[in-house]
Amino acid sequence: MKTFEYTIKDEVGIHARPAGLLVKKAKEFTSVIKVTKGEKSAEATKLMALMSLGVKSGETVTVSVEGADEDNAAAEMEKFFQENL
Amino acid sequence: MNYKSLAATILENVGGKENVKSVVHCATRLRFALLDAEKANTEVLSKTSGVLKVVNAGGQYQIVIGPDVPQVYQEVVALGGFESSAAISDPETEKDDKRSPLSKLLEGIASIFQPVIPAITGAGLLKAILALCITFHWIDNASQTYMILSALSDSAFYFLPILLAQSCAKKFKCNQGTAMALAGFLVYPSFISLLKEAEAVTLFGFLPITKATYTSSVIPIILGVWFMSYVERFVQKYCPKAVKFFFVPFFSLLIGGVVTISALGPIGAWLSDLIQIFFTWLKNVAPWLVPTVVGIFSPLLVMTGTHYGLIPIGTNNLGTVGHDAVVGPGMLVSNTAQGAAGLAVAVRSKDPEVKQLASSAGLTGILGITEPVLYGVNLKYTFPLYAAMIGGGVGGLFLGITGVERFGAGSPGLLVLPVYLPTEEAKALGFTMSNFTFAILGVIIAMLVSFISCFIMYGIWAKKGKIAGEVAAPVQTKDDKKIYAPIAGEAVALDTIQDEVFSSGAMGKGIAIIPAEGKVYAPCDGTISTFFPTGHAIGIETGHGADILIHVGMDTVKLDGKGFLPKVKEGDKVTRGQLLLEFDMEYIKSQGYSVITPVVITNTDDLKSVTPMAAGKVTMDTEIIGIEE
Repeated sequence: MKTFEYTIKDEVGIHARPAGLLVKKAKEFTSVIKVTKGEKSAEATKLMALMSLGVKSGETVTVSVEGADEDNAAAEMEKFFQENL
Repeated sequence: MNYKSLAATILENVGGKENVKSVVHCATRLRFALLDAEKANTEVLSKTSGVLKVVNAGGQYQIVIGPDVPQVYQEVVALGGFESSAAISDPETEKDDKRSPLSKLLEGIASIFQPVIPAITGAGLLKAILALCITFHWIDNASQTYMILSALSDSAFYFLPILLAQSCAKKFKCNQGTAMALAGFLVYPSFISLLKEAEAVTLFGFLPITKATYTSSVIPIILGVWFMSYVERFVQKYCPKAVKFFFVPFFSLLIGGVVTISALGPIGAWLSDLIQIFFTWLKNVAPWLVPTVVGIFSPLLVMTGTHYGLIPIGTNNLGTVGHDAVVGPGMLVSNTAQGAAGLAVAVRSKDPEVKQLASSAGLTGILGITEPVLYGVNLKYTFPLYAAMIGGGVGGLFLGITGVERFGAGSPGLLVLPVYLPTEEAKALGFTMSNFTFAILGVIIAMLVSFISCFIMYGIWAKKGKIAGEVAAPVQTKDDKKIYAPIAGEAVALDTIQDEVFSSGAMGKGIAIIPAEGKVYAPCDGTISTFFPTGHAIGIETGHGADILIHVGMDTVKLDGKGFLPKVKEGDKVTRGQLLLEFDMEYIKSQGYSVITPVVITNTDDLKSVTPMAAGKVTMDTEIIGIEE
């Protein structure tokens, strides 16, 4: 399992658009990707759950990646976060 | 809405008038045939305030405006110098025309009056002010000032047939100039004198012409232009091309004119005679019923011009015995009731233009001039007319029972109340101040009943979705597994949305709705799983497998909540039809954002199938998405 932390730079947080793109990206991989904010956690492929986390600007999330392609997936996901959030 | 500037913006962004082959319109859309659709700035147009959405389909570049598309169309045609065409029917919004023939007739008359309403409203107001000045003796009714202002304020009413003729010609699709000439003939001074003074009038020595009054009339010219349109089309068809140009109007006028004065116009005069006979009989049988019946039916009489059968009875009474209970009291309560109904509409309507029209027309109606409120409001919506008839009836009954009479003439309305004060002769006959008091009471009763009835009826009609601009509230039902439209408006395919994240289906399968109003209702039962703090997106977990995301507008998260008013919060359990969010469409659009609202099933991958089920106009009772688990 690979994990990384990321602090949201986007001033609006994880809103519909980036959430949708995130879900799209996460679906490319076979690994199970989870996004955790504090106590709450959501699978990166579940749009509604992701948005329910209510991640705002400046908040830090932990992203965990577990699966066969976790090395590649984790790197790609981190890159995605940096570019979009 | 500023039609001119909207038209200019649209024309500019479809590539300019050079890029337009032709343009027509239907009930809600402008439909352009463009030379090169690529030149059009769809993005800019979609975000333009006043444009609901843009559709490029079937070789037509369509811009959805809404019900006032005819006005925008006029401006576009004027700006671009295009050939103007009559509205075409809208294939996408075919709705069964379930209206009764009577409603269609009344609404037809109301629509003919539409272009004339501003003129009679303004003139009506002037008339009312003039009457006020006379009542308070600020102006002498023998003065030149009065004569001039009186003519100015009365012209719209006197020459009403001519004003209406143009509108009729558009409706019946015939030449406007010829129609107006026909109307002009009906009110031609020497023709009027002839009808008035001659014993009997015949045409060509044998054709009897009824002695009717056509000034201020409505029905004769509508019938006349309607008939004339058939003559015109007939001659157009069978006339040789070389002489068509002058023969068509020649025959239209000749045949149209003769038939109108010999057959059509007199229909009204004949009905007036019947009315007179009826009321004379009623007065002898049950005099207290007369103001009641007059109170109820006065608007219908005025509309058909048959009140001319009634008025002479009143004038005669005043001339002989000095008092009248047949015409005065009934029309007094009827007119004030009509004004009150108009005011009720003004209070309840949310449309600023309607509010303005209804309040000014309602006011002049109360003062005694009812044409603006009758044709501009009451007839248009029909239920205010019913309310006025109820109010007039109740008020009339009161006046009938209390035996109220008038002692002078005047346009029935608040301003005429002084004629209910007993004169010296009246006092000698036994009338007292109570006559005046009861008259006032009758008016108050009529106005209150009319206002309250109209106020209540407005709510009922609005709920049923019968009032333009007022969207019906949805029926709230439990345990309904279907997914209905959360917003009333127009449904379009998700892939037409400019934003790739939605159009690609990344957010899930679904549908998009162009809102008709700024209200989001729950599309089905469920729990609010997400309500963005910015209020622009709602996530609902239905109890039965689907997660629905309603995202109002594109990029509207950037508005940071401005223009959005959430009505529920995260975690709330909601039932289908419950109001979830209100948003200010105009504000959002003015900030440059599109209000198109995708409604997607975010867990599409977990379901067997997600199928959009609607296209075109949707209400809260339209199923929009079908789910298979």
